[in-house]
Amino acid sequence: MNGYSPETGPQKLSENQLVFGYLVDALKVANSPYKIINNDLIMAQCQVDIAKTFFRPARTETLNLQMVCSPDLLEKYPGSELVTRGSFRLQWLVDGIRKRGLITRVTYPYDLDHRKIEREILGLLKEKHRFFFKQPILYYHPHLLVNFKTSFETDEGFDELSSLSINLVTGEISTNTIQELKAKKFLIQPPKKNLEKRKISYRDAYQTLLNHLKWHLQNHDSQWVKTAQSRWEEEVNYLESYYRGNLDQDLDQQSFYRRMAETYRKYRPIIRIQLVNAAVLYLPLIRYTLESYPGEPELPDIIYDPVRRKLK
Amino acid sequence: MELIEKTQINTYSSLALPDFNPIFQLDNDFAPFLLEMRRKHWDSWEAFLLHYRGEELTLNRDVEELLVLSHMQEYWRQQGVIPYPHQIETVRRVISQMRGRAILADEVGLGKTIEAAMILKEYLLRGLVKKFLILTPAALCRQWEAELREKFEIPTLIAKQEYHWSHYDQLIASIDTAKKEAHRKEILNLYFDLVIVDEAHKLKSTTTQNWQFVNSIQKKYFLLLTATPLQNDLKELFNLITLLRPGQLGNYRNFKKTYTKDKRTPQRAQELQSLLGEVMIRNKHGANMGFTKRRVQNIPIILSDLEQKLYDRVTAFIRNNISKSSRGMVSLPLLTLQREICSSTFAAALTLFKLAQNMEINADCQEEAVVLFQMVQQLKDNSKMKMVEELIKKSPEKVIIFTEFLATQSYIRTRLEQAGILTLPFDGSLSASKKEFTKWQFKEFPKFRVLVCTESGGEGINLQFCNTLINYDLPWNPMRLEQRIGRIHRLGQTRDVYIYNLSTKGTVEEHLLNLLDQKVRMFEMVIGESEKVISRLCLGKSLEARILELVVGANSNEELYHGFTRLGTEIDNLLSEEKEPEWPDIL
Repeated sequence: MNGYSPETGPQKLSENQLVFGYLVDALKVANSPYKIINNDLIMAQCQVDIAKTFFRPARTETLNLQMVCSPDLLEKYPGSELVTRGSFRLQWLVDGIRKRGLITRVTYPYDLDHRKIEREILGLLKEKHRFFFKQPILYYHPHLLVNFKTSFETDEGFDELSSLSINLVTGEISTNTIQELKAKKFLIQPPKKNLEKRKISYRDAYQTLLNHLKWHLQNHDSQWVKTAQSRWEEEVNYLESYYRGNLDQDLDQQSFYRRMAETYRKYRPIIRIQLVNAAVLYLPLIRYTLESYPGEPELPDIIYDPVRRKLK
Repeated sequence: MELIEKTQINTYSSLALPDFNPIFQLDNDFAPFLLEMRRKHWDSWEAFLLHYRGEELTLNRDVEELLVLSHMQEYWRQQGVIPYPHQIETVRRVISQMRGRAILADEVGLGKTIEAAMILKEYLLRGLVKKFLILTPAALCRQWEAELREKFEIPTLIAKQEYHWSHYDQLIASIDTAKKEAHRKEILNLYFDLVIVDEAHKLKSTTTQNWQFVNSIQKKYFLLLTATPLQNDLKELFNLITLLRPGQLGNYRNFKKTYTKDKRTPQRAQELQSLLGEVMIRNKHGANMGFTKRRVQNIPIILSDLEQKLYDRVTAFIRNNISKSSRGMVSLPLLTLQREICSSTFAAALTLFKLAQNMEINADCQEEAVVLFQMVQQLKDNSKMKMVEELIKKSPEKVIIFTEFLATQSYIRTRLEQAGILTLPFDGSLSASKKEFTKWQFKEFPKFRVLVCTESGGEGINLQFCNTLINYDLPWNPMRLEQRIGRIHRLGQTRDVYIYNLSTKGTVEEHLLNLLDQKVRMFEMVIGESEKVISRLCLGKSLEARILELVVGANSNEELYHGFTRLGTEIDNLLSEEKEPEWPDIL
């Protein structure tokens, strides 16, 4: 079984492989000693905080874990624990990791390689003008990346994740940022030079992202609302059939309205937004001044985003 | 939110429904993140990414898939808990088809509690339930608490104080506590995501405080648990369904007109059955339900001469005096005495002593009681006890002994302790926590070989870890016998169950055991089946009442024998009769 690798990406891995990769990375991040046997079995030692009870004080205990991620391996490694999507152990590890990685600040390191960048830019230009590249300028823009978990609730429920980022200089919003950045390598230190000062405060940036998310959710597929509404209307019909003819009595009227309110509360659609984590990213941009051929119209500067390989 | 609801309610009168646009709710604030950013408590990119991947892996995506199965699989494997297919199917139906409102009406012993707990856990895992309340008879509160903790890792609080209702989210309470005025007010001000009512057949009448109280609780999902949704009247079923989903069967006037011939006979049964099927699940006993076998051995005991003499004199004393009961002799102690003398002479001693001291009865009776009491005092042993000691010494397993009387319980314990066998008592005088502690001791410590139970003590407890049961005496009510067996013979019992019935020859017990074994065929059935049979036998008078009549009405042992034979034939006829389809068929 192969572990998760940022290069291959999650889409190419099976569910069990994803979980296996997650376990290994979680143990790494938690600094727990572990050993992988035959790419099947993970043996690990975790420190567990035990809350104080009436008889015993709070303490830390060592938990020895033997985990496999496929049911077929249970027989091969007797005494091991099956960890799959939805399992208690996975939830336990995820809950533990939730205390970590809440905020981060990273820089995407970039070395100017003129020839390579110029090739990439030429490949992206739709209109082929004749020009010369002048000396490029590399500079960094700060971004705020926020991951949100959205829960769609009626009498049923499902969740979605959204990853939004905003350029703190220009205010430009990008969606699905984490997927674009997942496989990249980052440095912890902020850029030493050419970092543009942010023009938007973190608080305002967050608010903008939240408003953008809400706007996006308002245009979300509303099938879940429609089905909940039809279920609710069915319940209302039942209530009417029960109370029909009795509503002139005060007690029944009260009971009817109470039931209606109770039913509405059960089926009304709620979108819960939960902030998962946030990051400050310093992402590079390259500005090229173009010099047109003599006699040809002047060309504007080109701004190249080497992270997303896009021209601005 | 309150304001919104009030305005919405006002519009209902014209039946203009409120709008159904999604409401946005923000679960957390950016401020704590900002504070950490200012403090520069940055974590690594790897940890950040891992956090996100964790969220991705635990995302609630598929509405059809049951999370509880994958979440609990490892824990259940370690604990030896096996969810049965009918239980999984029930959970699936309640969640996906019944929208979390259902009557779980499985026959006894099929695991209604487990089903309800699985539904609760599923909703907790999906994040759709945060605050829940379980209402149950007081005696079962601790059992619910233990089941949820041990099998589902759901910690709960048994609510007793007024502040508990609003301070805690995961609550169990006895319905009697909850409906007290001070608690009631608090509860009715709250909104519960899920309410579970155990033994819901106690909510069969709309005029009772219980029904009105449960009806008034504001709730999203709602489960009613009962093995007997229908007992005497179809209206009971209507009331139960109305509590759950008013209008499912229309209003009562229409229901009565459309679906009932009289209060016990339904009409348009198929249509009614289909309507009930939308809100009620009733799993019945079948071949593949996972019950192990009952292995029953009836052990006849021959009384010693003195014991037999005492038994005969006591029986004669009862026969002579029961007819005089209208002239001052109280018949209840006499009936108790008849049961006690069948159990053991020690059980009868106290009643005889009281009769001997009773100044309200006539002098002859009193004198006779004194003589009998003196005879009892001469007896230092009980013939059944030798057999019990032998059985326990032969069996490598832990054993449960059931008796009806505290005096017999005390005698059994003394004798076993004298023989070097450690025992634990289990009776109605123990508090709920002491019962739980005793059960834990019995389960965990190998030195405690025997649990000596009385009926009232054993009610509702689950002792599947044990597979041997001795009936030291037999209750005259077969349902109580069924309840005894049900303590160990239920889903989750992995081994065959051994039942030893002790019956003294030449006493009522002998006839009673023959009747239950040969005629009712009680021990051949699995739990739940016998309940049906017994309920059919009880259409006139209860079986217990019939037996009592026989015992006090017979002037000799021959008469008693003939009486039991007649009753046996009656039962034979009843059971072989092809009954017209009645309401069990609509369930």
